[in-house]
Formats: sequence, C-alpha cells, structure tokens
Amino acid sequence: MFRHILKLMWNKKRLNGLIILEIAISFLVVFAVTSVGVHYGLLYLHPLGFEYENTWGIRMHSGGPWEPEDALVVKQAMRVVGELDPVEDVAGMNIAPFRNSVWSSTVHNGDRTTQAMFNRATDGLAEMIGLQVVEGRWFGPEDDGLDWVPVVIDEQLREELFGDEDPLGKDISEPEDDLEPFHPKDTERRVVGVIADFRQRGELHPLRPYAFARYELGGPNERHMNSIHIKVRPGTTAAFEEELLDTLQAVAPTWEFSVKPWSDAREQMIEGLLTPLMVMATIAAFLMLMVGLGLLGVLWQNVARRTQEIGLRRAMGAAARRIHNQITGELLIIASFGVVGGALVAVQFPIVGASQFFTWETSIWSLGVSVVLIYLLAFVCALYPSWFATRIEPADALHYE
Amino acid sequence: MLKNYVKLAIKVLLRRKFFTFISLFGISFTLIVLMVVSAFIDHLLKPSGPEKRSDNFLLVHMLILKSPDRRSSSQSSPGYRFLDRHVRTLQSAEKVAVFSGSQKATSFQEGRKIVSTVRLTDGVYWQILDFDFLEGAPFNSADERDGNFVAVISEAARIKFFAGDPALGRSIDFNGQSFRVVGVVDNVSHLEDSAYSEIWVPISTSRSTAYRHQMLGEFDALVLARNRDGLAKIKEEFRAVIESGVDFPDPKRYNWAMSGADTKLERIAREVVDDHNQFEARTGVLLAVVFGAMLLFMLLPAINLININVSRILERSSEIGIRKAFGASSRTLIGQFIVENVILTALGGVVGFVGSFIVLDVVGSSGLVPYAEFHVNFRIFAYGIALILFFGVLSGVYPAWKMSRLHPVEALRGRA
Repeated sequence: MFRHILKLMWNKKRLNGLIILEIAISFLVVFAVTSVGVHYGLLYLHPLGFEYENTWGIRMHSGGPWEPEDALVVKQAMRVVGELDPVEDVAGMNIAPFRNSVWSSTVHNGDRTTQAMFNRATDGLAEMIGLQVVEGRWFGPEDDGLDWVPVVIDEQLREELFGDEDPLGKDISEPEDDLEPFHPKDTERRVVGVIADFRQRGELHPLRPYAFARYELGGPNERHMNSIHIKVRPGTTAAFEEELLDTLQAVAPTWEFSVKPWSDAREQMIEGLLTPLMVMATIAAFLMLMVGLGLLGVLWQNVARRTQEIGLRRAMGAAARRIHNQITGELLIIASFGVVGGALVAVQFPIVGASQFFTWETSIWSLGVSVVLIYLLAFVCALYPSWFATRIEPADALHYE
Repeated sequence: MLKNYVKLAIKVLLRRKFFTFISLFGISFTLIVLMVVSAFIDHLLKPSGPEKRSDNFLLVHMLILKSPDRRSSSQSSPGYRFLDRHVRTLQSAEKVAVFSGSQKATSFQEGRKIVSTVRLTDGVYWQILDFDFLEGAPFNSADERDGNFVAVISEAARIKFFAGDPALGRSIDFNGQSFRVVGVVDNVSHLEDSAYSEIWVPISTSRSTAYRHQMLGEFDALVLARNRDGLAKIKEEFRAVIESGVDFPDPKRYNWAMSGADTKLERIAREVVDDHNQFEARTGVLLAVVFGAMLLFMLLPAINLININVSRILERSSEIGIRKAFGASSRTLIGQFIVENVILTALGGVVGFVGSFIVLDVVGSSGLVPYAEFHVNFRIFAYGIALILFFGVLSGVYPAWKMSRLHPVEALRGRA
C-alpha cells in the first residue's frame, strides 16, 4: 500500500514537489509563531517571587543629580505617607518591578563570576511584597552601621555563583584588581540570605540572577533611592492618588512624583510583549487558512482527475474506507515530506542559537506543536476530497470519456 | 475577440466557484498584509503630521559617556546642558529645537483622575514642527525665557479636560502646577515620536532648574537643515564636536562621549539593531531584515497560487484539446488564459484594496497606535499587483502553453 502510494506520488513529482514546499514553509511559519508563544508560556508558569496586588509605586525625582541629603527627604516622605489612612505598609525599592530598566553588576565568588541584576531595598520590603526567604535572613535593624553592605540573593544567583556551596557570609563584591592598581576594591557585599527567584521585569521575561542590597534609612546617604512603594488597603481607588501626591508635594515642593499601581505596570508590560505575538498569530492563522483552502482545492481537483483509477479500484472490490484511506494517506505522506523538510530547517534555529525564542527547551515543544498542527491541517483538508472519492460510482468511472 | 475572452473568463471563474474563491482569498489576503505593513512603514518614515519636514531634520536622541579608564559608562537621552552647549551652537544648522521626551502628567478634576502625556519644549520647537492649530497659537521663545506658565494642548486633551469646549485662555492643572492654555492642536500620532504629546509647556516651567547642569537627562534635539544637502554638513560638524569639543563638567568621572545625529530611518535602525556605540547608524541591516521578511512572507501565497493554478489548468486539458481540434492556435489559447488571469488578479486586487482600507481603518481606530492615521500606499499596491500577476501568469499560462503544443488527441485524453 505504502509503496503503491509512493509510486503514484512519484508519477506527479512536480506538482507534489510544490505542495511539499508549501507545507514546509507553512511548518516554518507555525514553528516561528509557536516558538514565541511557547517561550512566553513556559516563562509564565514559573512563579513571580512576589505579590503585586494593591501595591503602588511612587517614583521620586529631585530634578538634579542625587545629593546625600536627598536621603532625608525620602525618609521623611516614607514616614508621612505611612501615616495616611489607606496605606498599610511602605518600603523603599530603588527600581520598581514591571519596568524595563535594570541595574546589573558583576558578582564574584573566588574565580567564579556572573552578571546579576541588582536592586536596593529597605528592611520593610520583604514582608510588604511577600518575598520568601529560603535560607538565612532578610535585612533588619541589626545591619545598621556596618562597614559592609548586606546582600540577599535569589536562588538562581545562588545556583550560578555558589552551586552546592553555602553562600551565607560570603563576599560577592569585585576583588581588588592586581593588574590595574588604580582600580580600587568595591565596598564589600556580604550575602546574608537567599530568597526564592525574584523576577523584577515580570512573568514574561527570562529569569536572571538577582540580588538585593540593603538600603540604610538613616542619615545622609551617598546611594540613591528613586522610588518608594506602598501597600494600600484592598479597594482603594485612584482618587486616593490626589491626596497622596499632595502629601508628597508638601514634603518636597521642588521634587516631582508619579504614582503607578504595580498591577497597571504589569498589564502594560504584558500587553506590550503580547501585542506583536497576537498580530503575528493572526497573520499566521490567515496564512494557514489560505494554505488549507489551497490544499483542499488541489486535492479535490486531483481526485476528480482520477475518477477512472478510483472507479476501477471500486469495481475490483475495494471498500469505500480503503479509498478514503488512500486519498488521506497520500496527503499525509506528502505532508510528512514537508514536515521533515521544515523541521530540518527549524532545528537550525536552536542549533545556531538565533534568538532567545529558540532555545532547545522551547523548540522541542514548538516542534511538537507545529507537527501536530500541520498534520491536523492536512487531515482536515483531506476529509472532503476523500469523502468525494468514495462517492465515485464504478459505473461512472468505467463510462468515463 | 477580447470581449469573448472576458465573457469566457467570467463563465469559467463562475463555474468553479470554490477555486475562484481560494485564488481570490490568496491574492487579496497577500495584498492586504502587504498594504498594511507598507502603510505602517510609510507612516513611520514619512510622517504626514507635524513631522512632515522630517526629510530635512536630524534628531540627537542619545548620548554615551565613558570614564577615563573606559570601564564605566552611562547611556541615556542627552541632558539639557549637552544639547544647549553642543547642539544649539551648530553653525551649519538652520534651527535647533530642544525638548524633553514625553512624560506622564496626572491631574484630578472633581475626584476624577486624568492621565495625559506632557512634553517640555522651547520656542523653536514650534517653528521646526508643523502643528495644525485648531485654536490660538504656540508659545514662543520669550515665554520659554520668562518661564511663563502657558500650555499648548491637543484635541484629545481638550476633550479630557474641557469636554471638547473651546479651551483658549482657560487653565489646566497637572502635577500640582497650573497652566494657561494658549493653543489647541490636532492630535498627533504616537509614531511621530518627536512631536507626539497631549500637552506641551515651556522647559523653564520645570519645578527645579537642575536640568540646566545635566549632561545626561531626558532631552532630545531636532536639528533643521537649510536643505537636504545640509544634513551631511551638520553631521560632519557634530561629529567633530563629539570627537574633540565636548565640555565635560567633571572630567575625572567622564571624559569620553559618543552621540549621533540621526534621520528617522537611522534612529529606528539604531533602536532595532541596538547599535549605539558609533556615530553613524547602520541602516543596511534593518533594511535587509525587513525586505527579507517581506520576501519570505510573499513566498507562501505565491506557491499557493501556483499550486492552484497548475491544478486548474490540468483540469481543463480536455477543453484545450477540443479547442485545438477546432483549429485554435497556441497564441489564441495563451491570450485566453492571460485574460483569465488578469481578470482574476484584478478582482483580487479590488477585494484586497477595499480590505486594506477596512483593516487600516480598524487598526487606526483600535488605539493600537494612538492617533495614527494610516494611508494606503498606491505605489506598493501597484508592486503587489504586478507581483501577483507575474506569478499568476507564470503558473497559469505556462502549463497552458505547454499543453497547447500537445497533439489535440493527447490533450483530449488529459495527458499533460
């Protein structure tokens, strides 16, 4: 049966070649779109590492470069805002989540180095946004007045920098550079705790090693703190923003403040990433519809031309089901050639590492999804022509011409 | 004769409605995507709003500073100080405008929160960009010098703040400051990224004057050339300034700078290719990617069209045989198939054309790109039609021609 179908196909190699090419390209289109979808899907499944509901970010801008005295303004602002009625909690975190801006720095452990995303946070942050400490501790008042900076790293960074070693108490700052005598050693950054993976840019961004450095809310501070965050009572509306801004403006009349709920920032971030995917998916869906209709047409035409052949088989006693299987089988075999061709091209993407969307993990999923979708398309397209073929009466076929 | 061909073609197309539908769907869908993408690119590169003179200006929108040992670097939009000292002073420029990126402004009216975008600009800004004023006039350099609290707002802001009533002379409050409206302009598309905003106010109304001392900040500059040839001269002069003439306030911290004066295309190329470390942006890479993607996209519909056409012709082998038997020449037959293909392509073109208008209208009003108005690009449409015709003729007429050369008896039996 299989050899027979192959022989029939070979007889019309030019037309079948075009169909195989069409299916191979369709496969690549489906593969590209599903890769992006699978990439985001897998990322979305990983926990975020913090809670974002009812949390608002307040960006603060003095209008000029950071002066150490500005730290006192931030402290005052946090105190005053914390006293407002709907505010349950307030904490400082220099870079707000769900935004594209990141601060990254190289971290060291002996000979091992890696690039980590950094942030600064005050003591109250962990409790306010529900960070889960898995080892050691979060920052506290006992850290005041140290001559080194306490750091909390996430599990990803522990994995990359320490492996099985115990990270607690280790210094991860840049060691003194012997080759460049003018490059002084960084302030010591010592690990005091490990938290669950923290995903600053949200669910749709790849996991990166992450670390929080403690921000000491004391006197003047050389380091800057650009945003504070509040947890409001559930049900607090945007109307509270006016009171909030008025309060802040009274604390620092020359500063600029802007308020944004974390959930709004999150929605914007997700929308910004998914809109291009939606546009791509829509175009791909229409392309597949077009290809599907085209295949249906070609196959139908093919069946109509082979009335004699099919009629003869019927006359020789072939069951309708076998005719059906023949037509469907032919298209599925052609589709298989296309799928194999397309897949051979598709695996080149993860092999050369073309982009973040084509890692092996996503590609295996999206290859699978694409294979299923293309076979489904071929199968659906073959349904009507196969049925049509079974309706051919042997008598008609033998009368042909 | 031609009339007969047309009649015949229409009869044939109507006889196999399903095939006709598939061909039409393929042709018009390809055209629609082509049109929408090209309208988008057109809108981006050849703005029709306030940036309509974009061919004649350059944008300075980024600055990189590096420390003496080059180990630490900072990259952001330029600050006011840098633009004021090194861009406003360019001799070869006709005019230079300095303005901020768009920022969020929050207002409260009777407990209702209004979020709008605001941009800080100087007076020259209004001379380089051609806004359509519905009411009043722009503020000028004197307003900017004296720090007058005046604002130009867009039609959208007028609706948000004043329910669309005349706004001239009325005041609007945002971020805790109060401004008098001196002008109302038509809405600006989000893609005109130097012009886009909902509220414009003088730079000097900032709460603090710290911006005047910043090398890095959130300002951009538009440099208008006297004519198109002037662009190269401006670039050359600016490059010389960047390479040797930058005045660093704190040379121990930063003493090396890189920037660029970009056209619209160069600016996009810089963003896409993420190429900020050199003076000239590499537009070639961007163009290659875009054209490559378009070509790949066209490949699928083209093959689809060829497949359909080939099987359509095969089906008609007996018709060709009969016509041959009655003495039709190959030329006559080819003429007939060309007419058929042209009619099919024309029909697909009409559907695609109408479809493009509908899709562009839907995209325009969907708010995907705020206030954008997309226009159908007739040149691209003509290219699209020509391409489809080429594939149609290639795939429909070539097999027909081959068949027409067969012996009528062979053709009658359907041996292609």
